[in-house]
Amino acid sequence: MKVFRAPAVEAGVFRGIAMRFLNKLKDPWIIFSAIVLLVLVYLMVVPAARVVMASLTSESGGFQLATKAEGKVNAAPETIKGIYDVVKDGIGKLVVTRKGREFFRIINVEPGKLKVDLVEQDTFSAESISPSDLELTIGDVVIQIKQEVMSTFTFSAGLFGSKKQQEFRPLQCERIDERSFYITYTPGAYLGFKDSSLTFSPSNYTRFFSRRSYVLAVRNSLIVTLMTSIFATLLGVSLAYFYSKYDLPMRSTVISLTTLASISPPFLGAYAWRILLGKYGVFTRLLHLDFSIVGVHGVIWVITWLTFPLVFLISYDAFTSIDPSLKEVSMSLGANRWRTFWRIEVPLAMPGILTGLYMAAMTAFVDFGTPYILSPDMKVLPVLVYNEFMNEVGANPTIASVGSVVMILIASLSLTAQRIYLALKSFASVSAYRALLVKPWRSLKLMMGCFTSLVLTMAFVPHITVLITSFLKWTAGIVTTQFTLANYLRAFTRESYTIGITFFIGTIASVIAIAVGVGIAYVIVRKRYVFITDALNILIMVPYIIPGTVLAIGLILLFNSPPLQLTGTWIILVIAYFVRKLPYSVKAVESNLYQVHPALEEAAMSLGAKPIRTFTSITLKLIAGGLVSGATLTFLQIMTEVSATVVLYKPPWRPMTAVIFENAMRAGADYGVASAMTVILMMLLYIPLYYLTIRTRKVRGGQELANF
Amino acid sequence: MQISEIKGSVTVKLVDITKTYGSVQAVDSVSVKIKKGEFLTLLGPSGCGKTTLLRIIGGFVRPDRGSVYFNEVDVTNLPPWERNVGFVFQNYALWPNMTVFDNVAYGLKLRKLSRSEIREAVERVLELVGLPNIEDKYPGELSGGMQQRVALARALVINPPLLLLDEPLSNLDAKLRVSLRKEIRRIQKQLSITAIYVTHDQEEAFDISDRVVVLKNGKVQQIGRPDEIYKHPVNLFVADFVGKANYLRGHLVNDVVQVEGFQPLKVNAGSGAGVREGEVVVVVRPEDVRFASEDETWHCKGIVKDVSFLGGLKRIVVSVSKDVEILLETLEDPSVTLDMPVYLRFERYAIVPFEEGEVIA
Repeated sequence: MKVFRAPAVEAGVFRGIAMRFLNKLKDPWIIFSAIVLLVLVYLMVVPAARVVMASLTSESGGFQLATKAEGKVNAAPETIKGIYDVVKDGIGKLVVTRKGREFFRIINVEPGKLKVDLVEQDTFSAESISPSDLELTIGDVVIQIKQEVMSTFTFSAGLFGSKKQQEFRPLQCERIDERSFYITYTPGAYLGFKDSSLTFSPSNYTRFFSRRSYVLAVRNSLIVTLMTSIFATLLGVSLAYFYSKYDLPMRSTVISLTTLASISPPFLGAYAWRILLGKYGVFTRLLHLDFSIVGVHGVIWVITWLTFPLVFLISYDAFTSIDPSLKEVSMSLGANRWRTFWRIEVPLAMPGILTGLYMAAMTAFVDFGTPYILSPDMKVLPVLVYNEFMNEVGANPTIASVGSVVMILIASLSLTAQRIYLALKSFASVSAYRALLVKPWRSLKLMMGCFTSLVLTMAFVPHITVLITSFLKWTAGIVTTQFTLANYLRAFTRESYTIGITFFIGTIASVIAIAVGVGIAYVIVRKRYVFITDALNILIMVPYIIPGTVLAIGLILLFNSPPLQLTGTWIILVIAYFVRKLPYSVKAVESNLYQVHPALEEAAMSLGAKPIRTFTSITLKLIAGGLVSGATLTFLQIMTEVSATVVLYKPPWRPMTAVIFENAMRAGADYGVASAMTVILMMLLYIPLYYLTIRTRKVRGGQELANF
Repeated sequence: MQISEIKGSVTVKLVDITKTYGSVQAVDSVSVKIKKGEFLTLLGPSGCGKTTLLRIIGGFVRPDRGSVYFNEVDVTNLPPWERNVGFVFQNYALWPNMTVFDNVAYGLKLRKLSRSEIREAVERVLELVGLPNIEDKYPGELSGGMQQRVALARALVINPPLLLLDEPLSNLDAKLRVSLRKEIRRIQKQLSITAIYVTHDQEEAFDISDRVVVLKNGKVQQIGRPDEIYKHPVNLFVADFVGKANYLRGHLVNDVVQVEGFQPLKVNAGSGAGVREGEVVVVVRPEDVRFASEDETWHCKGIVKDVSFLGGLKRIVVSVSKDVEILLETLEDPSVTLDMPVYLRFERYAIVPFEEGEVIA
């Protein structure tokens, strides 16, 4: 039986849909989400897209004609670029092709006069811009012709001094008919034909991958990433296993110290190790070593000590949160310790271990400070990108953007692999109770004691080195044994405002990051909006795959022209920090929000509180503590940010890391100030961190820190 | 009429409420009318949709289809904060960062009452739930039972015309559950407020309610007074869910059920009327089974297989045939011994249709 629906019902259905839509607009969270979504796309996706676009386009090219005074015209092969080609066709005739198709023919009529015949196009116009510049429009292609006349003085006094001096003739176009014209020029001048429109072409990639030094950078980056993550994982996981299982002496001290080591300034290690073992390092000179830390091996060494704390903290959490009864069941079923370890503990801790490994790998992969400070010529991707983009001479932004895209690709592949693994292998396991720590036997205690002290010493060598050298006099870039306070004096007198600037920019960026982060986390945790929630969830991961250097380049491409010309201002630094640290603040708030049961909010709503009121009077108050620590950690992260900072900063807006960077890099720069500044930065970092750990008052704060 | 203007309690009408989550039909065409001042319980196993239904009434969930009326006012599209409904949550949902006073006063502050009015109202409602003088304590300092009383006070202080309770006692220990449910019932009667209560515990539901709605897979199985539902379940699911029973599979013809090994069981008033002829199940509660002598009316004979003493109650298992055993519960002392042959009579039984795939426990 067929049911006919009355039109009135139809109208009712439509009105229902419209009502629902209007009701959605009344939800303030949906409006917030939509706005944030747009802003994030603009600040995250668009810069990345700009970089990708820049890597895929190149100028169309052109060619240069060399003319001789007596009338010969030639196109030197090395001047022919891009999609243009020039072929000789008999005496005094040149055929110009564009994208492999004949474009026009040039016929040498007489010295100082060329005839141009269009092949396919039938419209042209010419505009004289100056006596040496002519703009030619053929079809929709614009070609700039520039005449360069060698100065008459050089001409007559040089090798060809005997030649007759030519009088200057302006570059001009003279129309013959619809499809042909004359160009008059100064005989003997160079005529450059340039088409500066952009053409889409993957040729930059072929160029990138056919140049040895670029491929070497990719290879080195992969080697550094792989080796560092292997070493950091070996160190971190083995320490974590023993400390999670045995009641070793000074357990909480070790964990706190590792936590501190996990957020040391990223360039600190490189800087300190270079002081000790660089080409002119303290030990290198003292012991006349034929060896220095400069090189890929040095980068691996330094980053290993930088990243192992992360692996340690995350896998420590993974090991301690395994339900001990799962191990006991395995052993009660007859599996021995060894088998239980491999079949139960390792698989259950694996998601944690791999997360640590992933984070170590990504830190190593995108680390710009370490390789650059060890040696600015180091061939790794972040340094290559920086150099190709920033160098005053010989910079090649196109290659920088190709390098950036390669980095984005590698980072996204790793992120995808990690996510897929976690999705497949995460086992939710609620631990009813924590395992009692096993009393260690004597030799294990001794062994672990030695191992731990060795590891921690290595992790803190940079801090100690910089602290000591900050009190020593430096002459000509070499540290002496003379005690002095002059470094601090200089740091404070000359650079005190940079501390203020760092606080100013850092505070604004972390407040924005945490404020927006709270909203995003709330929507992700509580709201199931179609599309919007998923989109936010994905967008939040975008910064993970855009290294700081690359983001900075993208922001420059996006903001270097009006109406939003922000390059060189502090605002662009705030934007970069906000984008870079947003995922961490979202994660921090998210973990706090999961502690707030939805019923706590529903209770307020049932009593008459509207969503915003509920959020401010209930939710926000319940997560306030978490917000403070989240904001502090975000702030500390921002204070130590290097890779985006060094691309974006411009005096007077120099954050501390930029000052240290300048003073640790330039030949003849003030290394003393760099040391003193680093110590000040360390103080600014560790004092809040100390209070934060006291406030959370639990060793498990490691998890929160490890999120960063 | 505005909901906020309603004074006293309301009637609640649910019409064809349907809600789907993915492929799960959480609530399926539920229509119920709840009278003014009535205590109605939604009863069912976990996943039957009772909490979803309650949350639809509270405004936390929008139904896919159907309407909710308070006193004939359609509130289906009203958000919770405009419904003026008291809601008591399973996990108390007290704000741990606020004192008891601030928790209870929250709704009054939103209603812009004066300080003195708020203080007075809070004191009065805390008195009502039997917790005077604890205003300055934090929820963490209270026991679970006290916390739930505070939660109840917080819901009642705004004088809602309707009180919704979502398994409020399930986190408490057994003894406290019993005393607190009496308390809830007392307060509800005293205020004569309409109340809808969700639980999976049939004893609780029967003790506290005027009427019970039994739900399964989002569908209403039976609506009725507790004794109606217990004595005259309409199907096997209800019979099984609301208490222990013996299930005898038989064939219904001409108002008589034939069960192998039993005397014919007649359809009587209230049970089995309206059941279609064919395969049926006879439901006999253990306390409705009596011992009989040979010359009285009896329904079957068998041999005593097990006698267990559970305090005042005795539970006896009688084997009727190889596969059929009858469970019997009695407060008297029937002086039976193991392996003794006995005759049994059913004081009362219900006849429900047999459904393929229905599990008989």
